[in-house]
Amino acid sequence: MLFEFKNVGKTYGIQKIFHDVKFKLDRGTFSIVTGPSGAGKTTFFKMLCGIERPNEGEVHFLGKKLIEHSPTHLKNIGLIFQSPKGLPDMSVAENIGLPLAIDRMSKSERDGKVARWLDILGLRSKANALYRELSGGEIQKAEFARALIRKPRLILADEPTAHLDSVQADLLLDVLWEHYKDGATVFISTHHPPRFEHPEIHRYHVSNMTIRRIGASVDLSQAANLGGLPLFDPAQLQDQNSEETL
Amino acid sequence: MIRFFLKEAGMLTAFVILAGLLLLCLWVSENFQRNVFKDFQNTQISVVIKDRGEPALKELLANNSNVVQYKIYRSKDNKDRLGQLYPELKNLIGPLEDKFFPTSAIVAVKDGPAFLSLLKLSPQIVETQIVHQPPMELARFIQILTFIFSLLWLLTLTLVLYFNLERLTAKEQARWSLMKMLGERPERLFLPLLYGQSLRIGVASVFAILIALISVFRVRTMFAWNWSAIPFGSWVGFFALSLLMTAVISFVLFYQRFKRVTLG
Repeated sequence: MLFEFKNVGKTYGIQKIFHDVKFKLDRGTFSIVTGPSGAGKTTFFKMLCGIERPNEGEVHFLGKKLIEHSPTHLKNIGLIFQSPKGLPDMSVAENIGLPLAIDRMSKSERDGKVARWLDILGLRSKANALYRELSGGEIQKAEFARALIRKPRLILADEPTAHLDSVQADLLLDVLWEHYKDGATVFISTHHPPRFEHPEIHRYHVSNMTIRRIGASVDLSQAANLGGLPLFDPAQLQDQNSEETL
Repeated sequence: MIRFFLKEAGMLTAFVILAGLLLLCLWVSENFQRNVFKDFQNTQISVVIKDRGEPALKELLANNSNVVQYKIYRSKDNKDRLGQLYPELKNLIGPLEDKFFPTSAIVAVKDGPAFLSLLKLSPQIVETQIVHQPPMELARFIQILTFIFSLLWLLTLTLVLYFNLERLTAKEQARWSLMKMLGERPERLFLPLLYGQSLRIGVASVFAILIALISVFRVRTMFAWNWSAIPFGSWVGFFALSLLMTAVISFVLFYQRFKRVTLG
């Protein structure tokens, strides 16, 4: 088990966001949490990231109380936030390749991987553009590429498709699905539920200060479409930084 | 911007002045120890000897292992010393016979109180005795001054580094947040930051050494004393200590600040 929420309560001032939440997230699952605006999806996501701490109860990660993710774990966690985190004065390619630069990967190898991701997400023409020159959708895709370029074992995404049209959103969800199929754990928090269905998707709903698992309405015809058109070969991505614990 | 520049320049100036004063204090303290206290490594006792008590005292001193050394001043010696000490009384002292001046001795002993107890047991030898004390108050004052300047120097150094870090944090927070999110270790972000801090403090330390050198020169010309120069190693040691403290304080401040940088 990756995450376990033990009777978690969270308040902001006098506003109670969560009360007595019990939640478990297993390894190798694809989970989507939905809910109305202001229900607490981002707060829940931040508690998974270790950014927010509960006022009551405990969040456990890999069996230990989560205070803050260690640098080693963070190298195996792909984090995608609602707001962009890229450095505005660096090029798109440099931003995407930043995790690999931190890992001291050689420039040629890094360039190869970055180029592949630029191709996958249709950002090849923007490779040398400064980050601040990109549109909202392009930034979203670049954030996506940076989070996934290491091929992390756990992906936590908060509204990853908020600034994208449905075609682009499906493209990114397909990429996430490929990672899931390759063994990664994927957790998405979103305001708009994805259009696709699949029996393997765990769905949750945040409302009334708690999070509930909701039954997946299986539509096998659509399920067959998902992942049927792999956008890239996952084997191409080097299986680096994988950590058994994740 | 101007306010910030003035604040930083003010802090650095304070650091330079305090470091200069600290060096000056260390130098005075060192000289004080060397010149004044070397005479007081052992307790010094002046003894006024009774008439015909000199042989007995000599025997007493020769057989006492507590005595390090002694010197006898006969009546004539004391008469001459008094004349040298008070030249204006020379005409008055000169005609007096030697017998009006007592024979005395200055005795250096390891254990002052034990020797005084021994003298009390020999009232037929000794008229009176005086224990000479080193100027402890002055020494303590210099030590306290050095300690205070050390603390102020450390405080100013910390403040200089803190304000610099705050300025850097305002500029770098977004990058640090991203790097933290990507699993970068804080020490790797800290090293480039340390170079700038070390350069700033290194230059300030050189200025502090210059100020101390100028002050030392002034003090030497103002007070004719047997001043000894500060060894070159002390300057180098101070410079190295400044850089070492910069590294340690910067890392502690940075690490605490980096811990508070959020991921999202």
